[in-house]
Amino acid sequence: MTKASFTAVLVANRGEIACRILRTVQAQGMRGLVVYHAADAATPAIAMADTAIEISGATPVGAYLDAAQIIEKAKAAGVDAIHPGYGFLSENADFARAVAEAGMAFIGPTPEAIELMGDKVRARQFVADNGFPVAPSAIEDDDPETFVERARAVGAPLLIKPSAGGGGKGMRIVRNLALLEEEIERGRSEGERYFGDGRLYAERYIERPRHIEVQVLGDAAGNVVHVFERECSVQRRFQKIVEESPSPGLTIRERANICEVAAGIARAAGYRNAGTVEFIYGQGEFFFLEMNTRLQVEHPVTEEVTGIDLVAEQLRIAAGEPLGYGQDAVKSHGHAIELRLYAEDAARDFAPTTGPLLAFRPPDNARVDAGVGEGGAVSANFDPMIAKVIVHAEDRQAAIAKAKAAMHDFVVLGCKTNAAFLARLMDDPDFVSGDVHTGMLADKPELAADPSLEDATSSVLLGAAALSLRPVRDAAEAVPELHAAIGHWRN
Amino acid sequence: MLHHLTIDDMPHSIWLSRSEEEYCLHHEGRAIPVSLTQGTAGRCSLCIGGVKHPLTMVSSGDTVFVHFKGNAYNIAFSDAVTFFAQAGGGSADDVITAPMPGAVVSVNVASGDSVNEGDVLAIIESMKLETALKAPRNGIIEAVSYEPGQTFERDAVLVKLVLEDD
Repeated sequence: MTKASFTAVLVANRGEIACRILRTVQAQGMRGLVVYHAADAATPAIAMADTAIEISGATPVGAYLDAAQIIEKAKAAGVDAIHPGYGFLSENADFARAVAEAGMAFIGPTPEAIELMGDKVRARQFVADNGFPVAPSAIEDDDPETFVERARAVGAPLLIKPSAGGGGKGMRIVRNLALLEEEIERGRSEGERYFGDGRLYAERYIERPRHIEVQVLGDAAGNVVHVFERECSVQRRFQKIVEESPSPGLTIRERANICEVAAGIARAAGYRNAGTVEFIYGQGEFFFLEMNTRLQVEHPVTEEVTGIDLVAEQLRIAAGEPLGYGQDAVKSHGHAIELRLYAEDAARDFAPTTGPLLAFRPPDNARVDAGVGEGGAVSANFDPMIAKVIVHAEDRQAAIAKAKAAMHDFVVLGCKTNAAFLARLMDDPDFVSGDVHTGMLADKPELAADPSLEDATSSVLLGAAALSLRPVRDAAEAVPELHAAIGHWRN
Repeated sequence: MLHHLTIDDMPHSIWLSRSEEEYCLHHEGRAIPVSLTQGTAGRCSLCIGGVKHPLTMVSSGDTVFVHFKGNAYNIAFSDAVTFFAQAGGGSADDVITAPMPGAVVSVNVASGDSVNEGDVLAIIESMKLETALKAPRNGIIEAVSYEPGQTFERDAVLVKLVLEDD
């Protein structure tokens, strides 16, 4: 669409996100390079890159975290920008600084923004100081004398936690403020028993919380727009597995409000490049959780509803170009859903699986961002996410139907995946009605269990297997000969 | 001749017969006429009583992987010994296997060491979660198969104890 922002861009990442970034880099006429550890030598990103540079490390993950080695190889290859993707070095301020010092552009925010948002306590204070909502809380240490009063002022329901605590020990939910002092005493004695420390912390408790986040873009001149929200409440083991936009849980007014607050936080921080402001939402209220200073795994749902290529925007902004449009130009159309395909066994508590990809056949009629291909393998070296399936339709109901069909048609053989689980999830009445919250999957263990095999299905499976297994077929071939022989004797 | 197959670790016994026109699958007292039409790249169609069931199938060694109606299944041909061990839920106390794929963090024992039940033999890591592998009984270590830093697959034998006859 525009002139190339850079001549050559190095992707300091792997898997599906390396492919995703290379796609835009190359489409815009720039050279796309990638670094890789030998364990990834046969992956699609390596085949796709104009140049692939091998890096080494004590472990494969260690290689991708080796900032000095990556910068040195990038310089030697003559690239003028580095895209860190997500994970690995993407939120490492020292890396961002070192890339700039080496004379290349870091495709992401300033090191100062990474540092501010990377410190969760500082970030929360910054957001509160700028007048944006953080969950009301009271810290006993601030002023022990007034703790009860301040906790009461936070309002019910209230969560009391030991300051020294963790793992849910000593946590108490107070729904009736008349019991506040009694509960504080119990929390204190539990804190003393478990942690040898009775100091407490109280914060607003959100029942059935939703995780809603807002994509933002900012340029070097201080222009900031939001690119609407993503609902990411469906999680297992605190990790998102389904993301969608728009959120089915917000009214039009709430949506406008949460998006405007996110843009306001980014503006206050002087935020440059793409970022995501995460909120916790419940009972009509929302509070700042944290800001991710990078491209997110789930960015495609935003791209699908807005038509904006977020990687292209990141490249333009990093090259110093202005956004060139205002908030009014950012429109959201229809509904998009992303399902994360993981190599894991849903029925075994989502334990990761490994294996060869004897068949890997993405469905038609869906955008599939994959980091592996048929003939490859899933190893225990990296995160077990192997692909993202993204669908876009006129409305949510149509998007759910498309997502379900896509998971149904996605053929992966040789390594167990969560495809069938995700397809079942698309039929769950609570998901279909949009009544989701972060504890939803934990509340529905039956959804993760393998459905029992029907007789008709086992007949098909055993029939197909029997006819293709040599020893079984050979044994059957021997039988008619025997019958024939018996027949001859009878004659 | 009876064959032992497992569908996702669930044991099934079958046999296949052949008449002049077709094959017949015998399973749990039923005789089911079956025929298979193979297409390209593993796409095939299994016909039962005139009804065609499209599926995708690939095999690797004695295992057949089938994608059917949105589900992926793993059908393994096993010898009688393995089969009855699985069917009986039998587990050996003499080997310590990996509960999931991961990497070895540390190894606390070497072959020849004597250990007591509950002793930590090794620490493994999967998905950033550390797990201690403990001795299932008192005994002598026969072999430790992995070194720290090495990765392994699920069910890999990590530590072996010397067999005891009592």
